[in-house]
Amino acid sequence: MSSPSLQPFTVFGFATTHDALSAESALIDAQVPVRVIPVPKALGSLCGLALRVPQAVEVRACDVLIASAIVATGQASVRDR
Amino acid sequence: MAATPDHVRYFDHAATSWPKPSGVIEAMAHAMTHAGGNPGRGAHSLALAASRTILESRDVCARYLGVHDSRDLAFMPSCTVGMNLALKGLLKPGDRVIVSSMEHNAVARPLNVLAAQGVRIDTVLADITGLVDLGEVERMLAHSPARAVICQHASNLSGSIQPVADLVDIAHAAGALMIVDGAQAAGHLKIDLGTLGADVYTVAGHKGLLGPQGVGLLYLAPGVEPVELVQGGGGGPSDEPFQPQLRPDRYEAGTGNLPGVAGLGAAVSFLAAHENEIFVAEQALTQRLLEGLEAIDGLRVLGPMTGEPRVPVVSVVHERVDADRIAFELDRGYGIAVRAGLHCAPWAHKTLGTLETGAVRFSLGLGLTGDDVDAAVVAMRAICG
Repeated sequence: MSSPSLQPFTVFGFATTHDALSAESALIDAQVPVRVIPVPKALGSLCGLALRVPQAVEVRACDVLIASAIVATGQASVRDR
Repeated sequence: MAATPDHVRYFDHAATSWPKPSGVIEAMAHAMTHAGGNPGRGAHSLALAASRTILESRDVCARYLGVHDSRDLAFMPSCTVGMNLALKGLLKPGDRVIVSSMEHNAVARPLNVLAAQGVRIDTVLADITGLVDLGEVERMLAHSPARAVICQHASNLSGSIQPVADLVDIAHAAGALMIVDGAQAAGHLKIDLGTLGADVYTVAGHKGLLGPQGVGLLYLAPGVEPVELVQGGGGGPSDEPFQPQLRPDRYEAGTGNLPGVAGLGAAVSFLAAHENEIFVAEQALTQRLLEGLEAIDGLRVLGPMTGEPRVPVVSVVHERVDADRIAFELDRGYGIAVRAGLHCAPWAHKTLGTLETGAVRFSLGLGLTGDDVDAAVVAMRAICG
């Protein structure tokens, strides 16, 4: 059961560290709030990096990734602090 | 600029540039002190700092070299490793390659190994100035198809600058890949790989790019996919049984040289900011040295004629005084550091007729002055007089 204090986030997974950090840089440049996190189980057994953005800016984040030609290999919704 | 000991006038930049520009050592120390995690492994703060250092350095190098997508630029332990990866990862028994006679052992030795495995190696002779004959390359390609044309961008012996843009066109027109050894060109010539069109271009980090030893770059054009030489960890999907095929991870298995990459990034940033003044100064000093050496009796200057383009490399042979003796006297008597011998380039020496004698190589770079050049000429006059 989700705690009421938890907020909804979208998590993007990437195939390489290079892509994950390039995406982080692009999102920061676009002033999208973003945090680098370990890849959550919901995105498979990856051991790399994922990016977490507030769900409210998910569409904007996707637009930034497309404009930057960076492919997210996975996407999941999570609730977190 | 780090301090240079007063007694050393350093003319061995083609081997390794020294001293390094401001910021290189600091960047390396900073990487180990404040970004000491393992790049690509983990999301804790130190691992992220390490990963960001790698990303920033790769992007800096890509911008400087005109690489549109920095994923096409892989960090290597050296230019030699990059060339080995390209040659051994692209060529297979039955392939034919055309290679210039001016190549360094970084090309010659892996090709000799591949020849023993059934790759046919056809050599295109360079002329006495070290330049490859484009017409001969065209004729050789017209005679029978080749998988690749392989040529240096600039010679570590003669300083000759090969017409690599024309070679790219010729190779591609014949359906061949163009593989370029850029060890002596990067940092001394303006290089735009996005425009050049080479399929493979290898770069040394510690020469003209002014970075530390132990790091180089391998550029692979989109669609050029050599088999990786090394497989292992990389921080990506660990449950995949084989090496991930995505760049740059495919070619960077194992923990890389983070301090070296950080230093290279700082060096290339410096170079990008000072490129024009460095190029102008290098060429002026090279011309000054050429004029001084050409006036010494019995001394043959290898490579292009005076006034013709060359990277800041000037090699000489004296008719009576052995190369090793000259280098020894320069070092011990005058504090001048040069390199004598065959310079890991027996093919090039054979081409220029100096395989038996070797040569004395002066290679110029950041930190040298007109006074250093004049001192070298005075010393050469005394030693060869």
